Amino acid sequence: MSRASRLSGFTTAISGDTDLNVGIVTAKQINIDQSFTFTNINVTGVATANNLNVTGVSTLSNVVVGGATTELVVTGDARVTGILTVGTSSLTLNGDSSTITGITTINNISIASSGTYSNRNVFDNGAMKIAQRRTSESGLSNNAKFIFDRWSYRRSGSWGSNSFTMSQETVGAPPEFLFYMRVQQSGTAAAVPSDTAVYVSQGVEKSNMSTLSDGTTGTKECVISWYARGSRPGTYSLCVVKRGDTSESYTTTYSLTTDWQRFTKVIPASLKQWGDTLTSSGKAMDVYFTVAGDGSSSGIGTDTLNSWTGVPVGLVANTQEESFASTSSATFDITGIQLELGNQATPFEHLPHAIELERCRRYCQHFTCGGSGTATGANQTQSAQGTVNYTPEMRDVPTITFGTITSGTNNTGNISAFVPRKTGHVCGAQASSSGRQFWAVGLSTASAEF
Amino acid sequence: MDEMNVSSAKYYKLEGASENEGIIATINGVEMQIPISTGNSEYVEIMRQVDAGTLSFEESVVFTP
Repeated sequence: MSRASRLSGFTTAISGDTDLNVGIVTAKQINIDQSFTFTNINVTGVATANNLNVTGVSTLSNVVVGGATTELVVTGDARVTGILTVGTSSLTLNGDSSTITGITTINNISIASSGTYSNRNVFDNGAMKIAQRRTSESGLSNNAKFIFDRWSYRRSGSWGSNSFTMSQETVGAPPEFLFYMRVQQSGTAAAVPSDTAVYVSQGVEKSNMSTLSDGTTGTKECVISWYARGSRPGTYSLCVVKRGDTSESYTTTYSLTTDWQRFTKVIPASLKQWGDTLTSSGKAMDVYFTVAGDGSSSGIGTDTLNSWTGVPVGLVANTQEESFASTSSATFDITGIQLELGNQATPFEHLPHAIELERCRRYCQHFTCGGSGTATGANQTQSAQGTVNYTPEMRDVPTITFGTITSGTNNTGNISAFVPRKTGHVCGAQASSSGRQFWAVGLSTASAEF
Repeated sequence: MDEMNVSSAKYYKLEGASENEGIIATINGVEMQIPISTGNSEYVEIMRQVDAGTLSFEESVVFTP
């Protein structure tokens, strides 16, 4: 049979190596096991084909393509008017809502599950680039100290002669990073005293935590990531403290090795806000990376792990952290610290140096200043004023530490700040007598840190 | 847990002024000029220590304008 205009009522199969050209075919079931071409196909029943080449517009419903290993090959355009679900998980493409959901990784790059794609790191200076004050200081003891901008050395409890060095290092930094922070045991190595700990810490301003907040009802899930290594491998801990009237802490642990690793920890949502009753420039959060501490302390070693708890009595220290203080020149290295919305740690967001510096200057600025005038008597402080302007505006009215007067005449050496504001201040050097007066002060610091 | 060793603190103001300009304090061995601001960490810590009775203000300094 070579041509027919209409076929119907067949009760036996048409078989054999024969061409069949027809106008309309209506059948409950068509089985085709050779190459075959339809120009228009409308199948409402079950259709099975080993090689189906569709050149026209067809309507197929309830189509199952292939078995366990068969692919669907489309050589031309394809359109799915409904929702395309891929795999057994939840990757879906929805044309109606123009959304793709369920993607976590593209080309080995983790994709944020929510939030913004730029400026997503809540922490400042996570790559340890900025160190305005100094790049190294040894003999660190009980007093909090900022070596790096925004990241501080902290020590609690009563220590003996044990001390530490914090420094900005470059040699051996992990790939993509120029700098890292090193904390090194540098004093008399000795067992860590009871109820003590050494931390690396940053406080975060409430206004920068809004992306991690869920309106006025609580906080959203967020993820913290960092690169670290140490000469004393073992279990170390970090603690996130939510500040405000309803302070809470979340403490977790990680396994440090002698090689750089990237660590990630998801911080679950909670019902209490970051910094609840605080003003927008208040400290809504602290993060503490424990470098050394008393793991057996009843005060700091017993916090509940991996759970939001009430007002913290201290931070967790583990056994390995105990040996840090008793090991001469033990080192703890860290960089690439990032806190962002969601449960997917994205690659560390490297910011240009100038932008990172500007962010840090909200909390610390250096300045020099001078003034000239004529005093009409001794001890006058307003006869030779100078003005300092802060750019950008600082978080709060800063504490000022003046340098020494590097040049001048008719001065007692005392300089005072007047009309202090977030945007700047007036300063004057005290005249030692009447007459012409001028002065210039060297490197001075305005700090609005936490 | 944060340690801030305040060894001295005194208010300062200009002669004739009704309000203090700030506090001159020695913290961790360094002389600083601290604003009277509840958002300033050093000011908050000084007032905490004063309230706790572990620190007392010295006699105020009055500067000649």
